[in-house]
Amino acid sequence: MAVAAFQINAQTLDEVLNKNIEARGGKEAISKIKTLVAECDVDAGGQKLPLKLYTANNRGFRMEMTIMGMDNHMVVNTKEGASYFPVQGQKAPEAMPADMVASMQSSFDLAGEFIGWREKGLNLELQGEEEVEGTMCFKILCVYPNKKEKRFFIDKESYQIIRENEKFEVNGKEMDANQDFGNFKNVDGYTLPFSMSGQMGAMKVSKYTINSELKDALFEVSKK
Amino acid sequence: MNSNLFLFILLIFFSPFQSKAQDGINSSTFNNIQAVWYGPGTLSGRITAIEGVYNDPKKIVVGTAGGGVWITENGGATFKNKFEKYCQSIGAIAIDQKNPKTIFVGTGESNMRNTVSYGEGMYVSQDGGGNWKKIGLDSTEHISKILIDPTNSKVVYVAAPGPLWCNSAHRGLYKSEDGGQTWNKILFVNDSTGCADIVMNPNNPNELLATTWQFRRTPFSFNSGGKGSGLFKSMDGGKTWTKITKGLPEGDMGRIALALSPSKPNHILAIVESKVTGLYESNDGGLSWTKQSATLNVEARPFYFSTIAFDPKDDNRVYRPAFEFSISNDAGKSFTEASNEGVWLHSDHHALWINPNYTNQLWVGTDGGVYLSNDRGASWLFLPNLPVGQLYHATYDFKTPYNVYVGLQDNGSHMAPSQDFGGVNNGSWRALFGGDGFWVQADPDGKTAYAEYQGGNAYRIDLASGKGNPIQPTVTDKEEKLRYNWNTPLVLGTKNPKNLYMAAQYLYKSTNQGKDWKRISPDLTTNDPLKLKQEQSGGLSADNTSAENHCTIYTLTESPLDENMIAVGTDDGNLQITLDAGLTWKNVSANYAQTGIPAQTWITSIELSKFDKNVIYATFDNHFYGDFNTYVAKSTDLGKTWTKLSTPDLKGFASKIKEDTKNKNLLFLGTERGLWISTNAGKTWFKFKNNMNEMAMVRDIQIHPKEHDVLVATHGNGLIVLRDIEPMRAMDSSTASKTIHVFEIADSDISYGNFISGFPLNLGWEAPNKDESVAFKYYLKKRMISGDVEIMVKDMKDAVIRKMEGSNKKGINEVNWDMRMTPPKVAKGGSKPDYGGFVAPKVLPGMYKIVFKIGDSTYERKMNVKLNPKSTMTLEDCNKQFAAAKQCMKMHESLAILVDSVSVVEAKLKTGGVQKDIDSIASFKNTLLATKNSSIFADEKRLREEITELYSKICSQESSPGNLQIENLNKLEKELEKSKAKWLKIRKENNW
Repeated sequence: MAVAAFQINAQTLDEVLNKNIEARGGKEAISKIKTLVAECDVDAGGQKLPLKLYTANNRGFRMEMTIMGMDNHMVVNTKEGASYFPVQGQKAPEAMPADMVASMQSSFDLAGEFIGWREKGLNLELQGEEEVEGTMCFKILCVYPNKKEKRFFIDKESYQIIRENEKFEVNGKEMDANQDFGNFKNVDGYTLPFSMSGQMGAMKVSKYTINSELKDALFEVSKK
Repeated sequence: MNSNLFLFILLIFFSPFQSKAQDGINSSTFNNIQAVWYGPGTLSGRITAIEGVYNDPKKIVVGTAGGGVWITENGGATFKNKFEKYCQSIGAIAIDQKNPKTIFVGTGESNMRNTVSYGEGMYVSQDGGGNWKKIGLDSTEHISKILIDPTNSKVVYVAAPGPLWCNSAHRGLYKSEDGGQTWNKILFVNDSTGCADIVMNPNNPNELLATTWQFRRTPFSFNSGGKGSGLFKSMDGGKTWTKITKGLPEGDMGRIALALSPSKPNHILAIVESKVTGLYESNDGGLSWTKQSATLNVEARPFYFSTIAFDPKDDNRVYRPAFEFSISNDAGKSFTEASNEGVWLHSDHHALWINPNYTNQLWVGTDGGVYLSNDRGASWLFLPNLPVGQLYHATYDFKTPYNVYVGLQDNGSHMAPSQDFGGVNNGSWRALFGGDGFWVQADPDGKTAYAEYQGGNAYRIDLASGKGNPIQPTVTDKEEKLRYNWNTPLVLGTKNPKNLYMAAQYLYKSTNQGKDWKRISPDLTTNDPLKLKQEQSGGLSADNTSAENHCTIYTLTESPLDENMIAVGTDDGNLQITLDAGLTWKNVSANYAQTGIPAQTWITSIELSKFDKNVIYATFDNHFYGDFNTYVAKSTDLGKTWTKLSTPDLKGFASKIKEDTKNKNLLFLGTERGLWISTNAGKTWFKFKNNMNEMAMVRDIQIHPKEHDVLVATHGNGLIVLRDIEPMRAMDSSTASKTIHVFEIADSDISYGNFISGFPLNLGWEAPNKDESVAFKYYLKKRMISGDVEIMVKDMKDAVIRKMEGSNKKGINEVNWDMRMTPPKVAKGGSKPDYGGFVAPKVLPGMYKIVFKIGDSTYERKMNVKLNPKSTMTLEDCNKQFAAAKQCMKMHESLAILVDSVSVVEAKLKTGGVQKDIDSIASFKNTLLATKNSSIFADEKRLREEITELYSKICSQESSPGNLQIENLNKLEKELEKSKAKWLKIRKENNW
């Protein structure tokens, strides 16, 4: 046992990454995910707000959400992004700031940062261990080619990512945000989180659909 | 999962139900209890260092005496707490201007007053303050300056005056040539002399001028000056040094502060402490000196005011922040004082940063926070958002909401409500008294407070008029002199709060609010004449402001079980107890000394148990003799024998121990390195870290017996409150060993009505009010990786009232219920948002079932919702309000079905229907909800909006519906029925 404990403490970056990849479904399986659709609810004061997220690997992302009886959406593709939130008084889709678009584009990769990270030009560093609300985690720093930084906290027992921390700029203001993941379940051989929460609220996923057809038109930025 | 996008989504809206959480009984077990920072931000605290980024001067790094490091990236609009895990006493900061994300912090401030804390060496951040790494010099205890070679960022110099209370080899000037990985001591005089300052020629970084300083504090004296002090010059980066004396005072010198002109590096100024302290000038790089001036502000307290600076572009303009802020336009030959235009510039200054690219801009660090000038000191702005106040003590009263009272270093005594409209902000605080604030008490009459300034100068304060009367016991012909500690105990009785106590070397008691006093003890101290020579204190500069008063009573307390039992602790190692109201006294110091607690330690606090009269807790502080160990002990036999409660993981000298009011095994300990809690009577301790700086200097702790809040007086993070510690009381090792535990739910009062707080007041730092929701708590031994948590509120007929998601974190998770139903579905598809879908009525008083589904397990608890006795509503009012709200909800849901039906037909017609029909449907739909105007400036009220307007008022008012509201309700009901009938007719006629 003592030897095993020593080995756990001395895990390398690749060992931790590989265990996480395995815990999520394995490299081969994960690499086959081309599209992912998540149907979710956000609890806002007792009201469930339906939310649908579409991600197409390296192509784009779309979010649709109904708030206060109004349909809103946001879309980002490899070139641009726009949001349309009539609930905030917008009359037409508005272009998103370039820094936000760039920040979101780095998340189109459904395989995640850990698979093929060297080839993707990412820089990963195992920064030891850190406690996340009482749970010991491996802490991994990821630096993207555009210098963006994200920290991953991987639960030492399950090897699932239970927290991501990211600093990014919006309109010149630095944002420092955590988001937590939980309720991991198997979906067609992949382990995915069915609950997500950030500093502003919580989201529950009711269904994931993997590899359904998502046409390019879904990710086009509409001008009206 | 696309995490960035998720973040963006969540930025848009807000869920009021935040699940919080925490384990194996440590801080994370109680993650549902997060420290609330009350500040105040309006008074802030001592600032010890300020540095800015030259090329981006809105990025400023601020070091504080006890509140760590705060960074602003927006010119002071907001500050972020960036040093939460590390030593909070900051001595110096340096930013690598070639790579401004690299920041060096030296811990242990060097403003060597009696209450100064101690450091733990050097830290560096490579990411602008996000993460820090310790890089040595751990034993220096105080650091006064850090310089980075502007041509080579790997070369760093650190001036360390070193330990204050004892000899040490860990002093002097240190140099690193590898960015802080390794250090060499390059200038050292002796064990009593450290390095106080260093300047570097920016055009020739090997040219250095450094000052050494011989100094020492004892608990009863201070000496600044000696043969070790001097001025040294190096031309080879510190390899060799030459002592400079030409033109400097003869005889012993004390602290020497330097300023080198960036625009003319051979021009240097020095404030030299000596028998006659003065300002000296050199125009040859420090080789020779001429005395310039000696105004009061120049020569004031050189050990405490060690800042002087040139304007970066004008070597005639000099700033001397000290007791006041002085400005010279002739290189120090004469000075004027800065005005207080804008705001009053707090006295006592320790840090100054001048923007080198815009020299009008000055950032000054004072004993009362950070100030900014944009006109070279002609006027000032105060930054009210730094909650770094240095409390000595805190207390509370029994009003609803209760008030908190605090005494602050150099910022007087203040009070504030624990809850205020919109939150407890800077405007909530009220000044009670001036000077340095220490003990402050709230008389049970609710109209009077007691406060003091240093040396026992206590006053009784009428809270209504604001007037004060001096109450300090004065000397009579029975005493020679009264010795009051700098921080004199001023304490109300615990068993009998009509007893007011004050102590010098004797204990005094008053039963009429301090008007008359009775001395109820002999001299309870050692009365050692060797320790009573305060008038000689100071060394080269006489400095005796009661800070060095010794052989005094430092703490006292009356037993909560017997007002005749009083315990007193002195600053010279006596713990004395009386059981007969002062007739006789017993000194038990020899008894606890047997546990290994050194004889001369200050007794910093005594806690007489409220459960057992024989039980006494005490904290002991020996740091004044260079010993920072944690000493805390317990006696169960009135002080005859003692057991040490200190365990190896406790750090920092101890200032306060507090026993919980309900659970005798729950103890709180405040040390110079954090707040520690024990749930097993002191056998083991854990540090409380939830939203609290891990090394906060905790100097006092109080527990409100009715509100169950813990007030933590920190000496640098302001007043911290832990709200509702009931979960701590309920948690023991048996509960902690369970996989899941669901806590019982206490009866909860339901209140009606919404607080109307209006616009934000923009008053700087603000603490949120307590959540009025009822908290459902459950404990998870481990974080639940799979499975979710759902909590359902049901009535006693099992109808689901509300569903909420819970979190899955290790420790205690908390889900707050605002005692409202689930909001209705509202009609969608309009041109405006309708908030009716976020409004829900409060439930009726009564019994409810709370069902916890945690993973695969289900638990049920019952709770009793009772009408708040202070509510203006009767049960009948509640029923009427509820019925009307339910009626509105039904209308909303019925309208939603109707609009959905219309929308389906509309959508079909738009793909090939007749335009006349499309227009007709649109027109009908527009009677149901707003469909034309999307601007918030263009009202368009239709049926949906009208229902929402009435519904939200009914749900938020503290009354049953008024007569016109009922009429309106009936009118809307009729309109809805008409609309439904009309739609049926339209559909039939058109066969849709």
